[in-house]
Amino acid sequence: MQVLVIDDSAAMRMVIKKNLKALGLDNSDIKEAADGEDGYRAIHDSSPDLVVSDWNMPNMTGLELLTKLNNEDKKVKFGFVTTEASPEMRSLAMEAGARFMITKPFTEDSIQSTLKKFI
Amino acid sequence: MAIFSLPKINDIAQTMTLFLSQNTDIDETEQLMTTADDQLYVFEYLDDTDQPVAASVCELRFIANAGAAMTMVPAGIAEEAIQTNEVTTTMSDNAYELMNMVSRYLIDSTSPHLRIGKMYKKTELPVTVKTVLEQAAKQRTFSVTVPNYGQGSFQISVT
Repeated sequence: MQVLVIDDSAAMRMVIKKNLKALGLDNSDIKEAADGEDGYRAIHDSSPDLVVSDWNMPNMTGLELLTKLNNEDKKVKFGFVTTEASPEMRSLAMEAGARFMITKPFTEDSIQSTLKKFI
Repeated sequence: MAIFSLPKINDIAQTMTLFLSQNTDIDETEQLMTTADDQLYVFEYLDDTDQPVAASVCELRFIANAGAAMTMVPAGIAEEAIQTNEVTTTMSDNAYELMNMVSRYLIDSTSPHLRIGKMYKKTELPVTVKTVLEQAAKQRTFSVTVPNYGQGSFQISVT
């Protein structure tokens, strides 16, 4: 199982990694990217099974990344971890094929219960 | 009457322990321990018209200690930041993420939307953010002690 975590906050990437490791993954299963463009390259380089992405990021947002992957017919399980989660954003995410949307603030229990459905 | 909420201590504890040690100690206090403007940073919270409507005033020692601990920057670097009155980009980026998370506790189903904006040194505040601090309807202050790093406080002000 390979998981790619995309977030411009190093601290948030660490929190997500910690929770993925609590679900049984180890460091070698988890890759990181710091924005949508880096994430796009990493998806093509390593073909992860799951992408956990922030929404608001420099260079390319999470939604722009997911849309770009859709346009290329690149299939990957994709979900968001985001502070902003209006009904409109949820709708856009789901229409683009996002499998989940974890809203900050979250607890370890809540993020793990969502992520474990996909790993 | 304030239209935004203030976070409760349990909210802050939940966020701090998610990013920091489970043994992080959180207390609600009357006021910040630091009063020197050159040792304070301010995060603005903006409404949908980009106007500041709330703010978080953070002691430099809070940003240094919590910001360093979040990505395991050595405690000595945090102490150096406190001594020199200058936080690193990593520390401020990490504190930004903390204060971004805290922003969600300022709104509920009845309040308008807000989001985090920029971080400023308190000595370099724009008038609009100064006004928020001067005219805040209510405030709440929290002290955070991070094991192996140290203590620092921040104060949330809402209109």
